[in-house]
Amino acid sequence: MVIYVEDSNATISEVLANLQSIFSGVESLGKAVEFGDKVAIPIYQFNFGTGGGGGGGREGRTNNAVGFGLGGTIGPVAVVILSKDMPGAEGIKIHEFKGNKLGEALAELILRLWEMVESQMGKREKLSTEKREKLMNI
Amino acid sequence: MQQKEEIESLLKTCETAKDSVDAFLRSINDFIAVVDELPAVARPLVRRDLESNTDMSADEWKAFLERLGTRYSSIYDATRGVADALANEGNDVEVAAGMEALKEVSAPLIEGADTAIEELETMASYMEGLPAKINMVPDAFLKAEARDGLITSVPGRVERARALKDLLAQTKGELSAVTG
Repeated sequence: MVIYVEDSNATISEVLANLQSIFSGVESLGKAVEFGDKVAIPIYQFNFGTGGGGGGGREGRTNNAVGFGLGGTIGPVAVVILSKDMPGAEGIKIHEFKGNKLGEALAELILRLWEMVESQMGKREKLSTEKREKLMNI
Repeated sequence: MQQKEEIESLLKTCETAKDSVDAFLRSINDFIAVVDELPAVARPLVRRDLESNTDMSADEWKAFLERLGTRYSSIYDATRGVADALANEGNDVEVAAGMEALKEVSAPLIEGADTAIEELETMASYMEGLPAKINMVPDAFLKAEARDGLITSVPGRVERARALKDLLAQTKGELSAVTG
């Protein structure tokens, strides 16, 4: 992304500072999953990073140019387990993934294994866009 | 005379096909309900398996069958219009208008029938192989009760998918004969 501004330095550093303060480290609750007498609620973290740079125009040009890039990751950081039959704080347990990454790895592993099983069983030819449209408009 | 017989035959085929669509739609709804009851770990895997093997999710199958049912109802109504016009002996304008309406409502079905037939056979084959696949899932992911529920519901779906496939082929043939 490139923005042309009259006075780049102050404006861009303000923008970057604001963006980072808004997005970095935001945590969000995922969809609750019930299993038996327990409810699991995953917590995800959004990490947001930016980088930028700028330069002055050649002599005789009025504008300066600056550019900056945005990047981010989303990952599960913990899961909250609520026990339905245990009232109060005793019924709430929080398992953090930050230390051992076990939950994150397990979910990833299951999907990878499934993809391997699927590839071993042979892939069928995918439905073309044209055929899909015909089905959807039948 | 032959045209009247073809129209009568098409009406019967549409009625049978509509029932067949409804039966298969109930099967898909049952499948969705059984999968919704599966443990949290197994649920997304079963959904993903159906989608990757038939190229359509259960919800897409449901939407497709609902549209097919509506299409059959429209074709039935238009065919009934032609049958009534033919019963009025010699009212060519009414017959021609009825035929035009039938041609219009049946065009998407004629165009998509071959693809639908292929997909229904894909679904039938997938369902046929499903019990063996379900038995390969480790007990930790799928309890015996849930496993039995999934397996016992499969055979009816194979038959219904194949019955609907045959009726689609028959409908396409009869429609082509009637509308030219």
